[in-house]
Amino acid sequence: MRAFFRTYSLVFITFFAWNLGAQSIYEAPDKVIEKGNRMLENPDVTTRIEGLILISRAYSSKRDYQKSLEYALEAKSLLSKTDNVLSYIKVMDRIAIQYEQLGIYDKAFETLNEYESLCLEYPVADSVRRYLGNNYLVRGFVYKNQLNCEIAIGYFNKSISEYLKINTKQINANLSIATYNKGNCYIMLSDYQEAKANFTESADFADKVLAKSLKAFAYKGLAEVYTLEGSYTQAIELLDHALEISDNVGDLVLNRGIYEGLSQSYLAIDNMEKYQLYNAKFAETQDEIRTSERQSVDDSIRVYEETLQTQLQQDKPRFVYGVTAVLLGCFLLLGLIVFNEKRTRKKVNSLQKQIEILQKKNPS
Amino acid sequence: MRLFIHYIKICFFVIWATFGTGVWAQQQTLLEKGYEFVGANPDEAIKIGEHLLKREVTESEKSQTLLLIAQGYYRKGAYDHALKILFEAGKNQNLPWENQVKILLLKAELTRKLHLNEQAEKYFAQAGKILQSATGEKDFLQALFMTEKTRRALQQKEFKQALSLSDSLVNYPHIFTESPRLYQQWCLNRAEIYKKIAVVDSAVFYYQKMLEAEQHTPDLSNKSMALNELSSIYFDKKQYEKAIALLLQSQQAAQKLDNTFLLLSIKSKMIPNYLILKDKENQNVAHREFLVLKTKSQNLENSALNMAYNLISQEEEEHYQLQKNSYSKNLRISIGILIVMALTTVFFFVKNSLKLKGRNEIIKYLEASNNLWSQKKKSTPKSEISRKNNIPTETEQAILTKLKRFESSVKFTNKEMSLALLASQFDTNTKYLSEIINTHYNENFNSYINRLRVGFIIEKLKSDPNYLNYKISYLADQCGFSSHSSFATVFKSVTGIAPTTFIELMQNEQNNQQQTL
Repeated sequence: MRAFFRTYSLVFITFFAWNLGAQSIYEAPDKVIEKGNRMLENPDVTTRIEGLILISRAYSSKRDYQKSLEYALEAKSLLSKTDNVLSYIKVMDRIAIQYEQLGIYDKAFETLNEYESLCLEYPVADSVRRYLGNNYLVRGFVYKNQLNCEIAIGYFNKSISEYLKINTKQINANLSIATYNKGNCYIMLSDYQEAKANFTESADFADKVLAKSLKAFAYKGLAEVYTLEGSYTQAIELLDHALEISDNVGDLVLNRGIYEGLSQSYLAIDNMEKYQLYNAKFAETQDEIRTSERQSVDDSIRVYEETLQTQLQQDKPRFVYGVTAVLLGCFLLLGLIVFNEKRTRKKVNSLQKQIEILQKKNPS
Repeated sequence: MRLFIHYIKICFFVIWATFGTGVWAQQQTLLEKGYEFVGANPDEAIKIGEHLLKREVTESEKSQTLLLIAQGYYRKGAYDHALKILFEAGKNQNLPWENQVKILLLKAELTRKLHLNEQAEKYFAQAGKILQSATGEKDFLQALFMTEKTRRALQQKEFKQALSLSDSLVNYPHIFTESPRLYQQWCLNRAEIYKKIAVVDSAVFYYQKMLEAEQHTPDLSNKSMALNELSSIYFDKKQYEKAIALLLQSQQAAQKLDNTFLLLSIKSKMIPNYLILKDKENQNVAHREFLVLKTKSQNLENSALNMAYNLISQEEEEHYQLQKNSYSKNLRISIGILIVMALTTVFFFVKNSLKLKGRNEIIKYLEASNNLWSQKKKSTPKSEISRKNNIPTETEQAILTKLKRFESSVKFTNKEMSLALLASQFDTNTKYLSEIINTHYNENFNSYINRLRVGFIIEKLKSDPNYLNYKISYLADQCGFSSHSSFATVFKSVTGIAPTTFIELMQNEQNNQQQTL
């Protein structure tokens, strides 16, 4: 069974793929794949594993989650050749994220459990803290997708507390994602105060790492709460701001959310003109997302069909030659039969003549 | 209340069909009832379908039943289940064309709903092809085909085309009478087209027509969609309370179906209405429910997409295997022909060699019976060689004369006959006798005696027909051989054929002669 189609924000995918070169993974995944492939030629197993992880991330940002998982699993198969626990954790981190993105939650949990204990037992806790944080974050995502928001919040909190112990600037991106998702969970639970606090935090974290897209997401979330509370003007202000920052990002999922929020807020303040405008934009973006997503499914099916057709074309000559050779053999045998028949007839005739002569000599 | 009556009807039919009629009639009736109820109660239709599948059914009935179950799931918005069942129904390549078209059209509809446009196009084209080449009554399927074509045009925002396609369906009024559900579909499509091209009054007219028709033939899915769409017209007309009332009715139908996609669409329309009415409480409830439904529908849609991808890939793989198998079947057939040819060749070779062998045996027989072989042996006296020997000519002549006499006697049939015995009988020594036999007959003493013995028995066989009936061992004994096997070996080496064959040929010859006489 193959499974690989889920709607995800590109920004999230990118920040999930957060590591050295994350930006280039987002902007030019093919170049990253090339780089990863070069790393695969290295005799050192750890480098090869890093290469496979890189390729897996690049495919994830191309939304080909299945390919991404395949490379991650290939990296896993190389783990037997090394006793580097950190490599093990990195690979399992990748696999778990991929299973979550593919919606294969049981496998995701299995992988998460496996490497959580490894992280906890790792002697230098600081060097695996990020992966432990990711572990809890992915668990939070799974529970959120299964509509278990209370449990999800617990894991988001655990994830945040691990991330907070890391003193790098980049970890703020992960913190922003965790708090944003936590905020969404609070909306589902109708706890608007907590939701607002988390979205505000998410925006602050995004600011620290200068991640405009994440900030826009946070604003969108915050605006959603304001709309629910009836503070439409505030919501519009935030969404306008979010729209401004997200202009350069080009994330359709983000834009869709912003347009939806704007259309609802304008409707609430009776600005029908703006409502119509943003409602149309919302519908348009929705269509665009769906078209591009479904096109990729259609493309995958077409590629598969073409592969089978090529295979068939490759198989065909073998059968055609086989049939031709066999038929030639048949003709050869036919020739032999005809030849033998003629020769026998000739011989029989001469023998018959001999018999006739002998019979004439026979006194009886 | 209406639904309750329908439910009672279903129960009645299941009981009646189980206990009341013959098996075949039962199945047909149940299936028909299943199709009748699929709109009002898809869960029950699915149950009926599953119940029918447990019985022994023909392939065609099975596909019709699977199609019913698929339609049930489709109405409930469980696209993944619907796809799975539908692809199972379509697996059989030898279904009646009507079933094939129905399956392909539903596949086209489902893949279109999932926005898998290329796939939808593929199935739609396949259905069209079958429909075009089919003969017989096809008005209903033609109408079904045109309905799907209209929906496609609508989805592609080709409203003008959609309208003209919808117009063309007016030519099938009898189909609308026979299939009220198709009529509802037509009304829905027409209303949607008018809504899109902003001819609001016509849109309302057709939505209402559809709802009226639904009163007679309940179809929750159609009803929910019509009410849902109608609500947005009232929203545009700023009649928000009316819109909400319609949405609540629509929601009621969608809840009975448990169709997440319909419910999501309804909720997304409710929120703006509550917003504008400043009904914050209801707005927030709707929003919360909307978020849950959104996640649910995303999960469902992803699951359906993955299912579609896997099923289509499997179908392609099977198609590829089928083609590959047909190639290897051709190869196997030609190898079979080759084997048959090889056997035929062997047959002809054996037949011809037997033919030749038979002729050769006859020749050998004739030669043997003519005693040509003995003449041949005698025809090459080696007088020059005898000159070189030290046997006096007189002695040689005397021995040759004795040999002549010996040949015309039957002494050689004596089992004890040996070179020494004959030499003593000829008053000569073995050396001379052997030498003379060698030079004059070009053979050794044993061959000479064997030849005489075989010649003797052949003469006996020719002159006395009784000999033909004697056992070989008797014949062997008669001509001086101690055993049956040594006689057979010697006979064969002298004449070239086995004694049995010789006797057989002689019998044949005699029979022929008798027949000619």
